[in-house]
Amino acid sequence: MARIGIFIDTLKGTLPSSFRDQLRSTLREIPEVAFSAEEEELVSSEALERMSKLLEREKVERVVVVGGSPKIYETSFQKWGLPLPLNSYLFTVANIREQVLWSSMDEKEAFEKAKRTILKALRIASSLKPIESQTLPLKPEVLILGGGLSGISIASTLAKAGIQVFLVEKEKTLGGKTTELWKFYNKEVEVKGWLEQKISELRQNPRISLLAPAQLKYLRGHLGRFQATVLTGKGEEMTLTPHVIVVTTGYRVERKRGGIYDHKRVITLSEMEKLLSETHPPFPLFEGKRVETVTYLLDETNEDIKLDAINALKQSLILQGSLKCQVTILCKEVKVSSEGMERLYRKARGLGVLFVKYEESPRLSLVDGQIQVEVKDTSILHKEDQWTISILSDLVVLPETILPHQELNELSALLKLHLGKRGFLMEDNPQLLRVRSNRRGIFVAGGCRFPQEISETLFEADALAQEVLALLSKGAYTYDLSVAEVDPKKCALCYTCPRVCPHSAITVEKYAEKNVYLTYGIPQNTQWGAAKVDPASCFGCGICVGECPARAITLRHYPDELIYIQMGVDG
Amino acid sequence: MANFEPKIIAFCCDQSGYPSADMAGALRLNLPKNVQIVRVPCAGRVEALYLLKALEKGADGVILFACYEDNCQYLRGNLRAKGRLSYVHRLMEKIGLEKERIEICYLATNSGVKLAETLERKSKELKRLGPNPCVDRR
Amino acid sequence: MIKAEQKPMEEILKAIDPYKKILLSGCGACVTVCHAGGEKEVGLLASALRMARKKIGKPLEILEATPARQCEPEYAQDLSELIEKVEAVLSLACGVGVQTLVRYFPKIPVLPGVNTTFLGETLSHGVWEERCQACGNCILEKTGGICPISRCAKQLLNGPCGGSSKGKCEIKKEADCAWQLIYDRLSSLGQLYKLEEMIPAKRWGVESRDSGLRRIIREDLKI
Repeated sequence: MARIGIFIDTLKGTLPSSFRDQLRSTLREIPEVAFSAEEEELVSSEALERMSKLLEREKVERVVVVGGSPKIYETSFQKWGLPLPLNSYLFTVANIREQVLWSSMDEKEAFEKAKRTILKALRIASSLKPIESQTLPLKPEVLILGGGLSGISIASTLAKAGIQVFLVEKEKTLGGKTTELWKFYNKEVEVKGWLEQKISELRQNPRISLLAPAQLKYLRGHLGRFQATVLTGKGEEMTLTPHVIVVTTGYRVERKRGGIYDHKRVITLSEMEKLLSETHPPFPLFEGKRVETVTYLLDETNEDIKLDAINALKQSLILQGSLKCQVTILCKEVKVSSEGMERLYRKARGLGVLFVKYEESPRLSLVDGQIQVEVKDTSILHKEDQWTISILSDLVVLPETILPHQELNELSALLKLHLGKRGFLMEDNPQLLRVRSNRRGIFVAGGCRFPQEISETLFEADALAQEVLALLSKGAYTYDLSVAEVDPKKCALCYTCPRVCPHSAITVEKYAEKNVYLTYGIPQNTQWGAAKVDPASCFGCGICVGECPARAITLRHYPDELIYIQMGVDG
Repeated sequence: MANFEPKIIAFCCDQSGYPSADMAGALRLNLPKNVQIVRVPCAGRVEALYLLKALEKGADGVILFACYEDNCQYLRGNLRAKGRLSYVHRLMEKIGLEKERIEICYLATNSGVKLAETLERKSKELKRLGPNPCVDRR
Repeated sequence: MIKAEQKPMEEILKAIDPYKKILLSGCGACVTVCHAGGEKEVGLLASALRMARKKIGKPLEILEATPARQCEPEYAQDLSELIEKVEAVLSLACGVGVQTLVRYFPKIPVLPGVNTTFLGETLSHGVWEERCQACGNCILEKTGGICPISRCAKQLLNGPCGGSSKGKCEIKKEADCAWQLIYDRLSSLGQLYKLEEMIPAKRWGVESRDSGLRRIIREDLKI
């Protein structure tokens, strides 16, 4: 067994002294223990300095910390990279406070169990192997897929910070869904001019290469070594080598069809937007006739997307406020949870816009060239007394159904990203890591993740740009090799691990000669002949280890031995 | 059954089981005496072999603590663990070992109480089932 | 690839009942890929068998090994050191592997631990389907790449039977009618004219499996 140094964290005296005495005498008997030092608060800077000096002097090979939960020690030693003269993975923690002393009834029993835990920790420490870190150089080159508002915004921010950006857009023109908007809901600026200025700035920016129309054909590689083949509109193939990829491909809309919904007086939100942009006061005209009554039918086509409510409210303020119309908004819930929306809602109510909440779908029918909308008014509590309101409308605005692009399935397969339950791209964590995808180095924002209105889209784009800058600014990505590793001699090339890996970090490099073992840091096109885990993209979860039918994969910081010792079956 | 303290091996993942075990301690909840906590980065790291080996080498019961479905930080670790557990259950059935000895329990980071209660319930259940019949009795 | 499934535990236990020390040998090729007999399954089965035998008071010692393949002479002979120490071998390889071991170790019982089921394709992870029955004279060119021997329940060679209904087979209701698939595929390739050529009856007794044990000899390769 290796020489082991023990640090007992008395946790400011919460470790009872009777226990400490017993422990000291037990440890004295064990030959591998070089020393056991006590500290009141092991993670304080003075204690760590003392620890550092002691380790240098005693020249131990492993360290065991006896104290509380491992997280706080790991954060100090590993994440903060404290200058300890020992590889930061050569230590283990015996969690005897939370998991032994505090959860045992009997003191004597607790001490016995704590001693057993510490002895186990000594065995674990002997089995540990050092884990090195590696650095992956990162160049400031980013590929952005999708030239809508998010893509344009991110491209500009990144270019300003000195990053070379390739912007690939499916259509010939940029702007996406934003080109259909006339006004913002919270700014007194017309969208068209604002957007055009952004686009012209982008076109003039020497750091942004615009490829439009163009589409992604293949993507190979991982963070820092992507190889993207793009097919341009002229039919030529270009190979780009970005180090980070951003996906902002947006969403599509579909008009609800069938029966009365095909009538020309049932229009979509974007058609109303266009109508308003062409309208001159005092009132809007539809086919030469005055429009007086407009009814919005929200939550029929999109159940829980705020975007419709925002646009409907914005349009209704114009219609009711300056175009002498009577607007009624029918909805299941009034969605005002966006910045400034509550104020606008009150303003709309003040202007006379009517809001009717419904539970059963309103009925539309044609009456003398107008659309009759019948809805039950649920503001009355007793269901039997709820009357049916009928509104004869010149125009009924029914928002389009918001859907993911039809090509998103294919694109997500090319990029090896996951799709969420609605068919949009899945973010890593909706609360904390909203712009990250399941793959390191690929970021997702905007409508392709979830459709939102402009200010939120711009915030998200900013957040994504910050993430990319944080990643690229140091010029390199440093990571520990606490990752999965495939033994190519045992790999049966069965493709199980690439399928199960949630982070798409495993590829099968299939060539002849399986019996060639290559160490880390191998060049890109070396023939490997087995499944290969990309260490920079691996998150160290260990799912592949349990799936491999040939037991060819090991998780370097959690090998079998470590688990067997913890189970107590290593004897 | 003779008065014995069932040996339970509890696989605790870094995202749910392990912090819950810490929390159970912080709340001073008493865990059954003979519980071994095995820390894993994700429930997906727990191979089917570990579950069987635990019993083979003398444990009376195994609990796999994992995150709720849809909640795994690595997307599908808990689902793969569930699949491996069902494979092991089928083997156990065929060799005459009670399926109840190995169980999966879903919880979150702050489920100290649920963890303690589950271990307590398991301990009682195992006392009823009796010690592991596949181990040499000394 | 060859697909196999682990035998029911009762059968395995009965087969190894008389022995006290066995070698459990997996195979690193086909049975690994279909998760039936690779190193992972060897470990699991060994653990389960040890416990099963301990439970009934007849302890069993199991040595575990997973050679890269069991069907080549060298790989099989590599196991000789381990085989010397045991009374029997429980092999999780396909039928070929079991019989290769039998040839090189004639004095020791070699028991199969898996049922070799078929030559199949992976439809998705964990789902495999039969595609080939090694008839020895491949007619896939004439049928647009869909094999009527393995995929048609009646092994018809010239068009569907009268029971083909809505693209499904009358023998196995969930299965697609192979001849419907053949027709659709040739149609999409613009090669329906191939169906006008009669495929003669297979000469099972002359050029296929009913003619007796089949062997391939390559004189140019012989050392």
